[in-house]
Amino acid sequence: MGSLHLLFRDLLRQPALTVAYAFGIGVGAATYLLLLSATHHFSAQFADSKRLFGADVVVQRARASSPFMWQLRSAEATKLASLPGVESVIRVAFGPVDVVGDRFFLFFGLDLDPKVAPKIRSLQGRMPLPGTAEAAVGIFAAPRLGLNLGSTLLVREVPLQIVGIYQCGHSLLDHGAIAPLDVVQRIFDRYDQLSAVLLDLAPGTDPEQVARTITQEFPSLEATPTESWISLYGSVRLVESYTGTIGVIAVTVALLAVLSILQVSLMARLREFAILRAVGWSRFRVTTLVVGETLLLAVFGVLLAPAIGEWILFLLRPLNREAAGFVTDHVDLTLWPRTALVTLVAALAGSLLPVLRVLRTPPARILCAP
Amino acid sequence: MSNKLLSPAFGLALEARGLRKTFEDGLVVALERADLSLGPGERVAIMGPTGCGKSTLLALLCLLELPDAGEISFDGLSAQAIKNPERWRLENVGIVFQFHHLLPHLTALENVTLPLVARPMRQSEREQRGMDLLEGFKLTHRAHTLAAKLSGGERQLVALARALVNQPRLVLADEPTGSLDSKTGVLLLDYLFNPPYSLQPTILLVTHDPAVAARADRVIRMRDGVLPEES
Repeated sequence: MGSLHLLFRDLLRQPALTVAYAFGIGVGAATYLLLLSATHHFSAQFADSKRLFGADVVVQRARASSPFMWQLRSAEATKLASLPGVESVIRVAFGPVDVVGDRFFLFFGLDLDPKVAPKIRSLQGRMPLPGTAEAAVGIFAAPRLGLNLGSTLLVREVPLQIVGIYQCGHSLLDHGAIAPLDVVQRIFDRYDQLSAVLLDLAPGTDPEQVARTITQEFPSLEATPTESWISLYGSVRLVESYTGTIGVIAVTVALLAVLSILQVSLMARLREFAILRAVGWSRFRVTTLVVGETLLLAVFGVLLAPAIGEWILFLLRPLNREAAGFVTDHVDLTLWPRTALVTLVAALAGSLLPVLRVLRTPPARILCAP
Repeated sequence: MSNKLLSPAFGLALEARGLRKTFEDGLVVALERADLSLGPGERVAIMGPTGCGKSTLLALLCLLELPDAGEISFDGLSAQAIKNPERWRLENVGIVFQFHHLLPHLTALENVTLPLVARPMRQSEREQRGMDLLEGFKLTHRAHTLAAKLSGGERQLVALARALVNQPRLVLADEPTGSLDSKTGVLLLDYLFNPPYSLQPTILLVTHDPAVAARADRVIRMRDGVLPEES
């Protein structure tokens, strides 16, 4: 029998309790993983816009704090179109609307000219034609709202006929609907106003250079290469930082809860540790045993985390309906290594207190008592 | 079990002078003016009523507790000079507690070999040593039984085997027969005084049973935490 053997024997002594501890840590790690996934997903919704529009530069009003603000004018878009290196301009307006089945339904209006329309893959039907009361719905929105080709989507009392169902791989857009820009502006009562202007550049043109030129020539505008657009928004940064902090708090609270149980368990086992020290086990070896047990539990918890996360998402799905597209549908497994690292470090730190208590209690006080 | 050829030089000489130990910020005096001297291989019994400080004395002598005052030395080496008490205990001391203190989720063999885990030794060698001891104690058939399922007498014998597995030079036994019937108690003392290895350790036995104490070479009486130098 070696130390490792003893470690496993300790954990297998009460399998149900061991599973409960691991599950508890797993819930903490899953919470962290989910919050992290949600943050990344949220950011990706904006960063992904390039995939839809194929744009190189995003232009918006300077110092805008949210992408949902309608602060640009079409005249400004026209001026931008004449800049050197700019091949085409796509005017975009979007915002949330309250429709039957979704109180926070994202509605996009854009120039549906022949340059843009082919970038969106129509699964059924076609994209709406400019100037018509038509709309296309995303592949996730259609089943959620019970919409098919020929159905009518009532947006702010304006009936729009569904002429297509699209998929662009952009979760936020695939959970929403697209209509011609002028129709969306009319529905929102914001004639001539835009949320953003997207620029397609000629091949070989540096987006950074164009963005600098625009910012210099139009002080009221802010231009950003599409890939770094998300970083402009204070509100998005705030959400990222907020969810990140909540994630750390979540994993800390969950681990503290589990470790307090673990500590109770370790305190109940003080006699065992005293025996080990009495028979000549060094402090280091006893510490290794205690920390090893905690870390092993954390490893089990981390392995369970993705499954627990998916389970939590499944349970939360009815609540997510209104935030569809914003809230991640699945756990982002690329974030699992980071989750594992945070969980293991927290478990290591959290096991130190029980270790200190174990080592500071003189074995004789325990062993000489009946 | 017959007496073997014993080597007195193997046992650890023990000297304690003016030991004092209090608890609860000095309110409870467990030990006062304890003086003790054991020669190598000597077998000594300490007798005294419950609560007179016998167990505390043993805890001090195996460095599980530190005295408030006084000096302890082993073969002339001061206890204060021992920087690593666990390692020293591992290499020199075997302890038998009144309450066997086995790990209930481990088997008898695993409990016996527990001290050997801390030593650089092959697994097979550890098991062989443990099995040899259990065989000497006629417990081979219980080697793979969980400690929780052993009888009280078997547990105490396994605890003794664990104390002896490192072939210690000093064995400290705290009321080892206190929870046993007389027959098992006699058996345990036989094994304690005739360990199944060829060298004779120094044995310090705490008991309040005169019959047990009579097996020792010398008996020291303790009262109210005081262990007189000359008993």
